[in-house]
Amino acid sequence: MTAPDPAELVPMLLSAAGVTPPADEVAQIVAAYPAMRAGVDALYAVPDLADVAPVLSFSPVPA
Amino acid sequence: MTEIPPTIADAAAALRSGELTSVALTTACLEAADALDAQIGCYIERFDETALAAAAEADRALAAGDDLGPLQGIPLGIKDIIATDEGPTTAQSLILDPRWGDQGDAPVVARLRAAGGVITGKTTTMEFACGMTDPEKPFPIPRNPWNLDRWPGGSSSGTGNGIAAGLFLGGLGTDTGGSIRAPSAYCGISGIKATFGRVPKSGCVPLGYSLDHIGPMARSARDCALMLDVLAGYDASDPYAADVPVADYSSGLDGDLSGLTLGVDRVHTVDRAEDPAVVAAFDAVLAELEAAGATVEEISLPYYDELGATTMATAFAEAFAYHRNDLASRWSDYGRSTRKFIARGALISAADFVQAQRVRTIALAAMTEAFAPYDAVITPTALAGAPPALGIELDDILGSICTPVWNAVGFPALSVPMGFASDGLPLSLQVIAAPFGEAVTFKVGDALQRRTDWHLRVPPIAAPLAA
Repeated sequence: MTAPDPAELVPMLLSAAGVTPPADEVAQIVAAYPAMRAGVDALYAVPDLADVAPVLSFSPVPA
Repeated sequence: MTEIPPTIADAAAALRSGELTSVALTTACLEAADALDAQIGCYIERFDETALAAAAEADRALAAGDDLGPLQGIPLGIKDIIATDEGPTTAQSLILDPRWGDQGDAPVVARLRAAGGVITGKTTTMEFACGMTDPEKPFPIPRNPWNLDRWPGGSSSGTGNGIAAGLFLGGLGTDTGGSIRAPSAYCGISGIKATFGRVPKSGCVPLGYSLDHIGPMARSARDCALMLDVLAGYDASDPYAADVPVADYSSGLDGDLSGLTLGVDRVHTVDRAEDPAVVAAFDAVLAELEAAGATVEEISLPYYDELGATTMATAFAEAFAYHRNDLASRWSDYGRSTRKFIARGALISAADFVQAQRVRTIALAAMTEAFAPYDAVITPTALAGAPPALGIELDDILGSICTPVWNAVGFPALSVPMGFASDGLPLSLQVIAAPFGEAVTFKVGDALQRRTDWHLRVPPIAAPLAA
């Protein structure tokens, strides 16, 4: 699978979230994206996570 | 002219011996602000009138034998994302609704005030505790008192540079990825991010709900312990607050580290430093800690780089949830760096966020196991001195700070000065312990400070005002 081009993907994701920065700032976010994405993708390579639940907590009783 | 004692402990002793009054001390601190604040950008708002009234009340109470403890009559600065009775909370932003601060004192401020602390004002922060300084926005530009062309660190910038320059003796910072420890490091002072939940964080503008901490900053580890004695403890208003008994952090600080074993992870930290002065300072600190009785052993911390990525992914997502609507409608009202930083949350999927929380689960267990043989682990706080005050982005420094890992697992981490870099700027040691092990971090930091005087060094611009 070919990785999507950050120059296309990033503006699309920002726009989908309702955020529309000017072009120069989009370009800076695009430039920062590959390093951020690599760090996040590395989290899927952590071994032994099959039965691990996230550190989210929920109580049906309001705080 | 009244000389300002270097530490809270010194000032507390002077207030009780009659050498000093809180009014004189507070006046001296306000005069220091008159002289230096235009250069260092410490305060967003000063509370001179109410501070002097609180100081007068502290003097009256002490004279009447009503001793509330060592913070009584001590000038303290509060980062301007924490609510106080006196004034508005801006988060150094045009975005935050001024009515947000109408809630009055956050629990941490109320605790300082009940202990007799004198709140002198609200201090500069990076906007919403993230991003970098934006000169186009109508807020002070915080600068490092050791070199005005350098950054004091953030996001608790004003609390850090204010303590280093003698504008107050202690204060509150907040820390989502290093925002107490980085300014402590860059300004040559001490600061602790306690265990997640140890200090209630209600009344503080959120950045990363599961990563945020409020904590004390001061010149010495002992002063931070004195402050945490007051700040720590459960409060029902914070859903993340830990209902765990509070230790007496300031007792047992005797300089003796006999029987303590300290782990040192060089591979992930000091071995990555480019400045040989960092390595030399770190090795000198190890020798001091061994001379104080500690045993030092090499350790390899598990999931170190993954936890750094986890902190950032979690912070982006949690911050974006809070800011999305305002980013969509008021993009240009945010500072350039802040808006670009938080907008990255739009690039984190829901699955990415959950995966980060799964990694936190497994890494927390592994880190707890790794810490078991050790009383504490030590690393540098940062791998260089302070970067430039302007023209940099957070990405430029993330690789040189050793702090975000400990937000993902919530372990307590104390930063204390450990010398100076090749460029003459302060360097810092980080002491990390297992959850609720703050007392041992103070013991290690205090022992180092009994054997060195890095924490008492004063920037040249503030030297004429110091005792």
